[in-house]
Amino acid sequence: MSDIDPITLNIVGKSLQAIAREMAANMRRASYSSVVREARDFSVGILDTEGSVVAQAEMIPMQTGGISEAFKPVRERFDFESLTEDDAFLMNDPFTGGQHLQDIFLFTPVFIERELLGFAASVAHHVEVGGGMPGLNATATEFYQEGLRFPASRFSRSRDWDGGFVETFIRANVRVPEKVIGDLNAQFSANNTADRRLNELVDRYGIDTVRDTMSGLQDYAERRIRDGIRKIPNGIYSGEDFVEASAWGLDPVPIRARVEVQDDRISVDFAGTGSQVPANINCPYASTISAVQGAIRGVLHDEDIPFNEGCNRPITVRIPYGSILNPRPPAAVRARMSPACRVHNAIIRALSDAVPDRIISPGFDTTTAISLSHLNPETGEYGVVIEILGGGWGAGPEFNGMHGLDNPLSNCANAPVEALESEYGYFRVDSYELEPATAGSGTHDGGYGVYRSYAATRDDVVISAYSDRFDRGVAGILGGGSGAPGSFIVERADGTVEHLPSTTSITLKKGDVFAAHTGGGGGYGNGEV
Amino acid sequence: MRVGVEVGGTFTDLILLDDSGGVIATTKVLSTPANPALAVVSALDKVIDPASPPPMMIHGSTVATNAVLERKGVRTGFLTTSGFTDILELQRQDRERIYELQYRKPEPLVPGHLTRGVHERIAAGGEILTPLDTSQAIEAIESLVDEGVNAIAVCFLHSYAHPEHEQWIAEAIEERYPGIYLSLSSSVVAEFREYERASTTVIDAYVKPIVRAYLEDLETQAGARGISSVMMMQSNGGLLPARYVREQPGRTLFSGPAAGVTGAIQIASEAGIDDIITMDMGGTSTDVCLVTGGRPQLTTNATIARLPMHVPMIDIETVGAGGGSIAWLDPGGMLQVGPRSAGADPGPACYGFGGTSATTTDANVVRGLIRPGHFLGGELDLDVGAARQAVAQVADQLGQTAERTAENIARIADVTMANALRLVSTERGHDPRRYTLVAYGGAGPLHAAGVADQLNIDRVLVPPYPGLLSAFGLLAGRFQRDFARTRVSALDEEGYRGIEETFDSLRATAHEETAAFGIPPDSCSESVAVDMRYRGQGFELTLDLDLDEIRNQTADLLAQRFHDLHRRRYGHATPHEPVELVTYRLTLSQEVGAQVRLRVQTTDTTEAAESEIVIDGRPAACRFHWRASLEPGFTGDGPLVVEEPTATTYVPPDWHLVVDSNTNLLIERKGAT
Repeated sequence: MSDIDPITLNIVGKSLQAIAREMAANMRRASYSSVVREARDFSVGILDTEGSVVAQAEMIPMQTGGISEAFKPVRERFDFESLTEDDAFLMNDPFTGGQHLQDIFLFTPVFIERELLGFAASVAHHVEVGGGMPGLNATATEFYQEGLRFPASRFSRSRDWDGGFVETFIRANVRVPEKVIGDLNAQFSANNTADRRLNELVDRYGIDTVRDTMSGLQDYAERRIRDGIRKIPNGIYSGEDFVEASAWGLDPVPIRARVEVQDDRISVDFAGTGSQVPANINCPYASTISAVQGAIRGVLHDEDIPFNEGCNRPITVRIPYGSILNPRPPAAVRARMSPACRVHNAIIRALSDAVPDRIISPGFDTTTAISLSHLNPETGEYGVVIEILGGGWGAGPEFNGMHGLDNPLSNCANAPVEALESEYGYFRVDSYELEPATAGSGTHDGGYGVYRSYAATRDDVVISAYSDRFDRGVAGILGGGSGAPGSFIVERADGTVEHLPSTTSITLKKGDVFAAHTGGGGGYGNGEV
Repeated sequence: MRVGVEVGGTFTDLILLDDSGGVIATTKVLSTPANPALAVVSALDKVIDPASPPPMMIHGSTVATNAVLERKGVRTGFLTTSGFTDILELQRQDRERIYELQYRKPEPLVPGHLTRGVHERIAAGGEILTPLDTSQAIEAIESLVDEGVNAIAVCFLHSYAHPEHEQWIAEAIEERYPGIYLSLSSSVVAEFREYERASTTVIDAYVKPIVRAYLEDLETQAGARGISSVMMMQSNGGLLPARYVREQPGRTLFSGPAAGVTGAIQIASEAGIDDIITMDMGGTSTDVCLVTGGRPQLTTNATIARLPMHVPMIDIETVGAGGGSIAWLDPGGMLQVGPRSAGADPGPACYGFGGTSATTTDANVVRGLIRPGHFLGGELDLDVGAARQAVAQVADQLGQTAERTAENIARIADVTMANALRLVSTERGHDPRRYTLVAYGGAGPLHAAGVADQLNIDRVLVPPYPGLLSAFGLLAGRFQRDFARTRVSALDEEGYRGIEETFDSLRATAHEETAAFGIPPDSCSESVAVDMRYRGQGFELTLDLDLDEIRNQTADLLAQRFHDLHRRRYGHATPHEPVELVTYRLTLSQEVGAQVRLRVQTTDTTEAAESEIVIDGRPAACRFHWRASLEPGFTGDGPLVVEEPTATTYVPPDWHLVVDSNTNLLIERKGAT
C-alpha cells in the first residue's frame, strides 16, 4: 500500500494518464498500415518495475488487459540490474503471456538518470508477420503456420534496429516490410514519448512521488473495482456460449463460465469448457484473462475507473490447461477473438439474473477479419490489407441494440473506403450498409449486422477471412429473440454464387465479388412489458 | 467606426471603436436565445448614436452551434452513393469508451428514412465506374422533397477529388427546387475519409436555413440603423462578409473561441509578445490554444455533439474545468473537480441561487480571493456562508479544513487546465516554458499563475477587460481564407520543382474567390505551407514555407526540415525513407480597419485595501487593488489581487506584477529571467 495523499495522487495520476494518451496519439499518426492507422488496432501503457500496468490509453480492451501478462516473461527471464536505455524487448508468444502472433508487444525501459522507473509498452496488430498465407492463414492448425514467434527477447536498439539484425530479420520474413517496420517504428515513437514525458514528470514531482503515484493508482483502482463488485449480489452463477468449428468439420465447442461473487471478490472457473482444437480458434491464456476482465468491467457500470493492474486483484480465474481457453503449443490461435468473445458472453449470461439492469444481451460479438492480398506479378511486391468488421450489439433493458459496432473486447474502427481505394489498386469496396433483418426481437431489439463487399480489380486477389456465429445466430437474453447469423458469399464474374464457411481462403479473379455479412444482436426481454 | 457584437450563451457583449481603433463604449446585455438578434439590436441601441455615421459591424454568434448542440436544425435529407446509404449510422464502428457495455452511439442528424442512394460511382483515380443515373437521382431528390426536407446534404464517394456528380445534383436541385438549401461535400470539405466528410456536410446543411434566416433578420435590423456592412468571424479566426457566411455556415461553428484567441494574439503582439498560450476560462469549461510567432495552430479535426466537423479552425482544446465546475469525491475517495458544472443556474453555492455543490468559484471565495461586494463589480452579492458550507461538506469527507480543501479544489482545476495546455504544446512538439500564458474569461486570471506553475511558464499576461475579450477579438480579426489542394507526389527533385507551380494554380483559385468577396486579392498578404509525410503514412505534418527560399534551394533541404519536424513531434525520424508532398495550403488575409487599442482607463482613485486570504491552509494578509486605479508602471509583489468588473486576477507569492504601458497586467515569476 502506498500512503500518498489523495490530492497528489490525483494530480500526478492525471499526468500519467495524459502521457498514455499522448503515446497513443503519436503512435497512430506515425503509423503506416491501415489496420493501425485507420482501424486503430493497437494499445499503449506505462508499467512499473514489477511490470504492473499503471496507466493506459483507452484503446483495445483485449490488448490493454493483456499488457502485464505479456510482460511477465520479461520480468522472469531478464536481470533488470543490467538493463540500459539501449535495451528493448519484443514479445508475441501466445504460450507465455502473448495474444496472437500478429500482436507484437514492444517494451522499453524508462530510466531517470541511471535509475529504472518502469517500462513503456506498446502493442500493435501487425498487418503481416509471415506464415503460410499473406495477412492471415485461415487453414492453420499449428501456430508455426501463422507467422513469426518472438518469445520475450532482449535486443540492442543501437545495434539490432535500423539496419541491425532484428530489423533486418523481420524485414526479410514478412510480405510487406515497409508497413511492418513502419508500424514498429511508430511503436518506438510511442515508447519514446513515454520516456520523455516520464522524465519531465519526475523533474517536476521527484521520483519518489511518481513511484508512489504508480502504486497508489493501482490501490485506488482496486478499491473502485471492489466497490463495484459489492453491488453485485453474492452467489454462484453459470453461463454458457459456443464457438463454432464447422469450418473444420467439428462440433461447436462449449465455453462454460462459473462465476462466484463473494462480497468484493469475483472468481471465474472455466471447468467444463471444451478442449483445444486443431484449428485457429484457440484462445491463449492471456486473451482469456483479458476477456474476463472486460466482461466484469462492463457490468460494474463505473466508466471512470482507471485501468491498471489494481483492477485485476479482486478477480481470480481458473482455466483448465489444454482447453480451448488455455491451449498448449502448438495450437493455432489466430482467431482467438471468437472464443474470447464467447467468454465475455458466457459471463454476461451468467450475471444476467443478478444484475439485469446493468447488462445488454450478447450480440454478434465477433471479430470478422478479412485479409485482402495481392502479389504484383511484375514487381514481386505484395499488397496486404486487414479489414475488421463489426456486427449488431445486443439490446439493453431500455434501448435497442447498437448497429454495426466492433465487438466489446475490441474497438477497431472501419477503414474509410476512400482511404483503402486511394492506396490499393487491386480491389474496390462495392457496398457497405446495415442489414435490418438481422436483429433479434424482444422488449428491445438487437442491433443490425452489416454487409460489406469487395470486388477484385485484378486477377489472383487472395481473400482469407474468419468469423463466427455463421451456423446459428446469437441467442437473446431474458426471453429475447436470436439475431441472424453471418455469412461469406462469393459471386463470380460469371454469375455463379458460392457460400463459404466461417473460416476460409479463396482466390478471386477480376470482377469477382466477396461479400461479408455479419449477424445481428440478440433481443432483450420477451416482449411483455 | 466598427462595432463588435458577440452573442454568448448568457451575455451578448458589444464594443464600439472609433476610426483610430480606440474604445468608445462597451456594453453587456442578457442574451435572448429564442431570437438572438433581439439582444444584438438592444445592445446596438444602447451605444449607437443615430447622428453619427453608422459603423461596420463585426459579429460572432452561437446560433449555428446551438442548433447542432440542441438538435434544433432543419429537417435535412442526405444523398450518397448507392450501396453506402448507412454511412451516417455506421460511423467508424468504434466506441469512445471501451468498457461501457451499455454504450450508445451518437444519433445522426439525418435519420435513415431521409437518406437516399444515388446510382453513381467514381473511382479514386477519377474513372467513372457507374455513370450518374440522372432520372433515378431526380426521383431521389423528389422523394426527399416530398418528405418535407428543407435542406439536402450530398456526399458521394471520392468527390473530394472528383466533384462532377455532386455538381450535377446541385444544378438539378437549384433548377427544380430553388427553395431547398444545399450543401455539397466537395465544396464544404474537400478531404478524403467519407464518414467525416459526410458528417461535416450534413451539419452544414442542417444549420444553413437557420443561419440564413438569422442573418437576414439581423441585417435588416442593422440596416434600419444605417449599418450596411456586416462581417462574421469564422472558426479559423478570419472574417467574412455575412452574405457569404450564409453559404457555408458550418465554417462559423467555433467562432466564439476563435474570436478570443484572435483578440489575445493582437493584445500580446502589441505588447511585443508573439509566442503565447491562450487560456479562456469560463463557467463550465476552459479553451486553450497555442500561438507561435503570432499565428495560431490550425486544424481541420474537430467534433461537435460527438459528430465529426472537419472545417478549417483554430486548434483549440476544451477541458471541463470552469468557475462552475463541481468538486466531488469519487467512489475511490479521490477529490475530483468537474466535468459536471453548476452552470449559471443554480450556479455556484455563493451565488445564492440555491446551489449547494462546492464549485471552483466557491473554493476561491473560501480562499478569500473573491470578495463579496466586489464580484462582477459588486453587481452580484456573494453568499460567503453558503460557499464555506458547500466546501466544508467536501472537506469533512476528506478530513481536512475547508481552507485546505478549497486550495486543493483550485489546484486540481489548475492541473486539469495544465493538462489541456500540454495537449496543445508538449504533445505538438512545443516547449510551453518559452510561451507567455494569456489568461482571460471571467475565471482565467484567477487561476493563470497556478496553471503556469504546473508548466514552469514564467510569465502571464492579463489583457484589459478580460471578460470581454471575445467581443474585442472580433474587432481584431482580419479577413482570412484558407485554401488547400491535395496533390500527392514524391519529394524528389521533380516533385520539388512542381511546388511553385502548384501554388501558382492554387493562388489563381484563391484570388478568384477573394475577388468575388469584394476584396482585392493583390492587397492581401499571403502565407503558404505544405503537408508532408513518409511514403506509406496516412497522416501528415505541416511545414511552413517561404517560396522565395524554395526557389533557391533543393529537395534535400525540405526533406531535412521534415525529418527534424517528425523527430520533434514523434521522437523518431527515418531519414532514409522517401518523403511525400501531400497537401498544399495557401492563406490570404487582409486588415479590415485600424488596429484596435484596448486600454483600461486608469482614472479611478480607489485605494488598495488589505484583506485576508488563505495560503497553505493558513490565513495571510493580501493587498487588493482596483484595476482602474493601476497606472502603467505600477509594480507589486504577490500575494496580491487585482479586481475589476469582469474578472479577478490573483498574483501568488513568488510572483510579481507589472502593469505595462498598454495597461496589461504582466505577472512574472520572481527570479525568472
